[in-house]
Amino acid sequence: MRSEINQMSIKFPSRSSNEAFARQAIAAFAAQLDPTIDEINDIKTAVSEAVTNCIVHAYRNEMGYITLGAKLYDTGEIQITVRDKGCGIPDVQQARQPMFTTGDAGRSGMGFTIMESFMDKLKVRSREGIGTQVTMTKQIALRFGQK
Amino acid sequence: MKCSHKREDCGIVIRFCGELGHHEAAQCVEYLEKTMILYANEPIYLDLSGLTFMDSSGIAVVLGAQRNIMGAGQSFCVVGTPPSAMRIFRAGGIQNRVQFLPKLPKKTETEEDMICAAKSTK
Repeated sequence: MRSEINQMSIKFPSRSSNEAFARQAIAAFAAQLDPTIDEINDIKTAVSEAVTNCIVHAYRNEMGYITLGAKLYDTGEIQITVRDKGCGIPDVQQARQPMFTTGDAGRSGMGFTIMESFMDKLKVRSREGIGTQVTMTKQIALRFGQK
Repeated sequence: MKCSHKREDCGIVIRFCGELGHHEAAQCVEYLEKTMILYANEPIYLDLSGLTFMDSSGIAVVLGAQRNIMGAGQSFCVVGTPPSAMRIFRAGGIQNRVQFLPKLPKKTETEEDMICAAKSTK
């Protein structure tokens, strides 16, 4: 049975300049589990994709708030949630397909694919007009001497 | 994000340094388009060796650049892609759609011979 050892939550406006802030914040928090550089990069990339989705899709024509939360467990697991109160996703299954995007030509439609590839588990809950919550989990490999 | 370009023996080399996410993507696209117009008819190399972070926004930047540059009849190639960025391209399945080189191509022996020959005749 795993038990929680730490948690954090931050809320910031859906400005694209806050993407880098979200990446740095999650990297600093996840560092408590002593991850490798590759593991940190995976987490930063997945969070960057989730936050970008909020900015580009959820709050397409408006400014709103994004909540980034994370929990660390004694098993070396990190669980990250990225939540918005934007327009929601009409069809989550379709949105998770590679190359699918409702954004402009500047979007690749690979956001969810990257999140799935770089994290161990990905759960997307969304309701139109209410918002979206993305929950991602990654197991950080325990090193020698770690409990 | 810092964008720069310079002329090398092989063509025009555009270099991106820093983090490439959604916030920086528009700046990169604009820089690529301006440089492409400025150096029409010359091969374009995109040097990503200075990137410290890239997410899927980088895929859209590279694919868009390739479409525009090759559509204009110029050649396009990505060089020096860091391993972390290469993982994004692989996850996106575009490693076979774009030409990736580990580093800038050197002059061929024939070209070097011609230069040496020209120098020796002076």
